[in-house]
Amino acid sequence: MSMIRLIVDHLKLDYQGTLDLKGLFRLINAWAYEKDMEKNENKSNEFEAPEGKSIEYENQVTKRLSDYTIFVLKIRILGSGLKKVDIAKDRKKARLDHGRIQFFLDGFLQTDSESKWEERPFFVFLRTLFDKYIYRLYTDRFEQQLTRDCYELFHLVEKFLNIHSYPKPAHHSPVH
Amino acid sequence: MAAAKTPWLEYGEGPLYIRKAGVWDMQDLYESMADFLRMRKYKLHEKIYKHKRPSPFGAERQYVWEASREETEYYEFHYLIYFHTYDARDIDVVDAQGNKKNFTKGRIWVELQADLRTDWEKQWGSSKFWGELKSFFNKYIIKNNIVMAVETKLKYELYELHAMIKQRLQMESDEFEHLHLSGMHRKY
Repeated sequence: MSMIRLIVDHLKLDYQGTLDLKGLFRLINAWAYEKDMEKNENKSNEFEAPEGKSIEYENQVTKRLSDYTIFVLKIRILGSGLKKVDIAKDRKKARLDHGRIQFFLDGFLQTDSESKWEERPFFVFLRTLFDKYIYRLYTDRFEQQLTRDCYELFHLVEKFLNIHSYPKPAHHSPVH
Repeated sequence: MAAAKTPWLEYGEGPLYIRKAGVWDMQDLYESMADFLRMRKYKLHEKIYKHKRPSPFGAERQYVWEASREETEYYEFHYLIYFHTYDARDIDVVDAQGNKKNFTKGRIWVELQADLRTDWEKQWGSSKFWGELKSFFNKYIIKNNIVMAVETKLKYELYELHAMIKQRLQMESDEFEHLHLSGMHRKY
């Protein structure tokens, strides 16, 4: 079992309204493809009900950086009460979805992906030592890159759903 | 059904799961899946077809398919496909053109698993020594070929099948980003 660390913990987005669900999936696919990542859909569940469709999708987007490190993004999309609606867009009729969507994103950094440093407790100790102190610079860079990728996808989804994202307050107010 | 791994399976992908409750065209799904495998020269075996006595809610059917293709004299692709329908009953649906079609309403559960068999001709299986040698050969000599070429091909084929099933079931996420990797003319 390789070592998996949670870097980005549960970014959550809750949206209710009209959206293009197929477009959302297309956006995630295109983003993963552009970033040279591989998308694996572990769960694809849909339930049709009189009050609307419920969906549950769980995707795992991975990118192998080296033979030691892998980025793992876990994307979970839940939807409820989704109904098809017709809207007029640029004088054309378009068919979209209306309902509630929840989007969850977690970022994991998987090291020792081939489990080569696990045969003995001493090797595990060495691995931890290398990760934390000797290759600290590389580990930090990977963590930053993963965080950046996670937030990039999250902001893309926010933009796609037309959600206003307010800038976060700075920790230190600028001195004038 | 848990797609159990047998000892000779070293590499593979899955299982991937699809679950849907609603209306779908079972005949179309069945034929599309069989065509998908047949067009890629797989030998398809329907190992189990079980039709259970219908309950008041509908019929329950269970299918287990196994498909295999000898990729080279050393590698073999192997698929294990399981699908199960619950509370399924036939309904008539009229489309926008006024054509009447027979669809199925109920619940469906699909499980897909792809595995890579090595040494399907059993050239290396005569003794324990040859077995160890084969393991060494796979792990160190041709590992790059397996991981970068053969396993990737198998994996993308499985994703394509997965996307095709979702498309036939008319699910929301029915796209596969690597569909046009080897040309725009390709379709499921």
